[in-house]
Amino acid sequence: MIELGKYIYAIFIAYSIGLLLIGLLIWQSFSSSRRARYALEAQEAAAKGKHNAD
Amino acid sequence: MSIWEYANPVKFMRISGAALPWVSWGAAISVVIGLIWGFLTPPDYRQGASVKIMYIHVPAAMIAINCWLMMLVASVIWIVRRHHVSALAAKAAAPIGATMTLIALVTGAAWGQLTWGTWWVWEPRLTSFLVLFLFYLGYIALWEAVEDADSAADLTGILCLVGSVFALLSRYATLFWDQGLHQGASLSVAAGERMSIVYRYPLYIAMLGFFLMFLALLLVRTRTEIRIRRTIALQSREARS
Repeated sequence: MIELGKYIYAIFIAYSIGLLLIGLLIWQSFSSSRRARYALEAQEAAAKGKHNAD
Repeated sequence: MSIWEYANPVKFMRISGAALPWVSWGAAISVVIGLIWGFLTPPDYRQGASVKIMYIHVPAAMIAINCWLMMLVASVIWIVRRHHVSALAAKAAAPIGATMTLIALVTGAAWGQLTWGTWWVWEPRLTSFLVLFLFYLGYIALWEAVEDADSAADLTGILCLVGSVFALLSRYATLFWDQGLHQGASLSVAAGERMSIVYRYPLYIAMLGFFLMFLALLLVRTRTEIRIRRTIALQSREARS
């Protein structure tokens, strides 16, 4: 059993906020990456469609 | 082959796409091992169990400072050689650096409360870190505020040069002013100052994990910026025709 004693609250604050911020950063990075990839694919498809129509 | 060939967006996308899964898995594995191993270390004879905060505080602070220095190098490359990938890499790195600075400030405050009896004190290391965080926010805001991408890259490049003073101050504040509460470097090559291997090895793993996590996120975010830039270019081409 890990003994944290009187330090438990400060350690809990440090780890929970630290890991939460890292989690948010990773989530934001991958979600904006996915959005950018879909937007580019849609734009390239539209450009290709227009090129073929011409 | 010249290193500048990697500044080609197509080549960058190809190489970064191949490297990303390896870097991401390496980051995930080493962060998990480093933090769990660090959490399981025995209490320090002086700091007690509060030493466990070190495994998240020190790697975050290391990335916070070195991320700005990476942005500095990328900004100088943009200013001198006008490689767009370097400007976009600097832009992509800023939110990572800002988050790591915030983590270092919060975890440092919690650690300070235990060891110094206060959450915050206006001493050199802490104050220069707070200023560095504000510089990160200003840098991100400046990128968003300027519509023309090249002008934004120029202006943020100059801001990065100025902010580098605070990044270096954050790193060496405890050496410049020997009056703060903050301790010196956690890791030292001097034999007498070395911390026990019980604490040192998990810290090395955590630092490696944070570095790989920074690299993985930097690649993901730079690739995103390149895609956004390409989408905008296609949209303007379509609008013109």
